[in-house]
Amino acid sequence: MDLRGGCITEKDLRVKYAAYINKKNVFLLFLLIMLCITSIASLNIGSSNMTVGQSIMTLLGKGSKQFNHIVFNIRLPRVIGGLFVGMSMALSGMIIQSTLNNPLASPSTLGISNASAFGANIALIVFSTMGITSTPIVTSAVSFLAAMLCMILVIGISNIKGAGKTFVILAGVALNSLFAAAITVIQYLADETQLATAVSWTFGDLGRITYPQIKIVSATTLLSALVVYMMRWSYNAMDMGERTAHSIGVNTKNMRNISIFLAALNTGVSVAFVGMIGFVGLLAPQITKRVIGEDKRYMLPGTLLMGALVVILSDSMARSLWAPIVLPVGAITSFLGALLFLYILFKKR
Amino acid sequence: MNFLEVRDLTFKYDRCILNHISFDVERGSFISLLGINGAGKTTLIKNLNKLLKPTCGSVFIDGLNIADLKSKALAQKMAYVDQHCEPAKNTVFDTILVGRVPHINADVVEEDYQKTEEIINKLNLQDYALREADTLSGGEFQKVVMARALAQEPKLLLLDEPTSNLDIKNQVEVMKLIKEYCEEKNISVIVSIHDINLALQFSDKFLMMKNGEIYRYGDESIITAKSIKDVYKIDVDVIRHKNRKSIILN
Ligand SMILES: Nc1ncnc2c1ncn2[C@@H]1O[C@H](COP(=O)(O)OP(=O)(O)OP(=O)(O)O)[C@@H](O)[C@H]1O
Ligand SMILES: [Mg+2]
Repeated sequence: MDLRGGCITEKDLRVKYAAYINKKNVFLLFLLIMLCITSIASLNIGSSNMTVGQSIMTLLGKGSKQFNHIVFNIRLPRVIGGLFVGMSMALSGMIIQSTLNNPLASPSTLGISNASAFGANIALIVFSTMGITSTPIVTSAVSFLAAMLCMILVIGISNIKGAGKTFVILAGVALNSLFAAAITVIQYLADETQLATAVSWTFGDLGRITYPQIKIVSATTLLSALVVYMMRWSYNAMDMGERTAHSIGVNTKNMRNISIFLAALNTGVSVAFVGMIGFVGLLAPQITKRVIGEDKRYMLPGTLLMGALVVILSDSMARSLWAPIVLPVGAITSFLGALLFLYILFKKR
Repeated sequence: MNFLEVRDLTFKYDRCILNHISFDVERGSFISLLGINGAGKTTLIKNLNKLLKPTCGSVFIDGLNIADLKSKALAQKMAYVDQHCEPAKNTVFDTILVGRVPHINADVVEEDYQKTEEIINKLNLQDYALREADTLSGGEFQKVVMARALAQEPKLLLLDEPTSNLDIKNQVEVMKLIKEYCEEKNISVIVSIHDINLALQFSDKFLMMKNGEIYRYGDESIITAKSIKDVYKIDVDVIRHKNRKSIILN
């Protein structure tokens, strides 16, 4: 991506710019192909011994009854769910990082992920102590509500007169640690079964997701991505700092509110259905930005694909590394992510 | 009606920073804002561009009250270069292209690319047009930021200390670029600046601020040993060299 140096004459500036843009498109295409390959490979990972051919035939509608069950009820929702959850987390991270102008910002620095986990813990431990057994739907609902509560708090804080970006992030970090403390207290008072349920809920698991939930996640993700894409030039302006963005005609207050809202919505939905999958929101936009820059026309599709890829790849590893034991996918995303991140950080200093 | 009219502008943080300021700016004139650190230059510029909302008073551009203008309409009228700009992770070309945002509807069109290219050529940025903005030197980046502001095709350019981080060669170069470009396009410039000699070389008018008020506003005849003593509390000699006014520290 590096085109520095060399004297550029008037005539070929546009040609070179086109070549530079073309490299971004090539990278997007590369991501898309990788994602397709990984997704198909991921469909083939599992305890029953199906061949690649068999799973592809099953997908095309020519499988046996048993294969149909395995592919359509167990593996496919996992992969599709993973795709959208990955996109949704990556999108959340990207818009928060852009509007708050901070590469470390993400829905978890705004307290939203921990708020979701807090909600789930209330449902799984507090409700159960009160004698109410929480169904997965109730757990998801309470978790989502908690995320929305946190979002309202953060938006409120962000709209206090004179609240700068750092102020919002610090307040978010404080909220994050408040929710973490609350979780610790609830879990400390829980009995062993409750604790086990709550802890295993917190580990992200794509296997939990159902088709109706996939509809919700995909609708949320795609609509949010569309909104962000329509505002791509405003986000490009935000990357130059709030004051500059303001002077280019961007309503920075709206941008902040919309971004926090969309990030919370996407995080809230994802965490409610599959639990916490760490680091994707931070990692996917950062890697994409380092490879193709932060022009949102290309960074947005890049970030979505990257988020999906990271989650699918991690989930495949989670299922195959210690098979038949399935590791928590969140642990893999964080582990893989951290390594990849360090590598890119050092390489592209 | 003048191009820019500032009427009775007052701004308070916890104390009064701008105190009933009124002045007019003609189209195409180049104005230097002078005053000690903390005099309120940045605050005045931010009030002109709605980054801050005046406590009372109003600002009219082309006869329109800026309070009634939408962000986009305002950005088509005036561009602003912050005292502390940060590069995004983007090429110089893309950075300047973002200056076209006030004119963009759904997406950039050919005209936006052409304008960007035109400004790159005018400001002589061809050599690093496709470099990452965060790899540029301070002087190079300062020119890019100017180019971004000019890509907005503003009628008024607000610059907050555009030359503070530059070496003496780049100070003159940046000022010269702006002066020539804005003269050609009939853009008014308001620039806050600490180097009085640099201001004397390029400006049509001077606005000297003191204690949140306008101490003097006028052409170079207001730059005298006395006015500088009053505003900056230093003793200088004002001389004329090669037909240009300059000051020398005493
Ligand atoms: N957010 C704020 N809250 C309170 N006071 C402020 C704030 N921002 C600026 N001030 C005060 O307003 C006064 C004017 O500041 P301003 O930045 O306009 O000065 P300036 O003329 O631009 O100075 P400099 O030459 O140092 O840039 C200063 O006394 C400053 O301390
Ligand atoms: Mg200032």
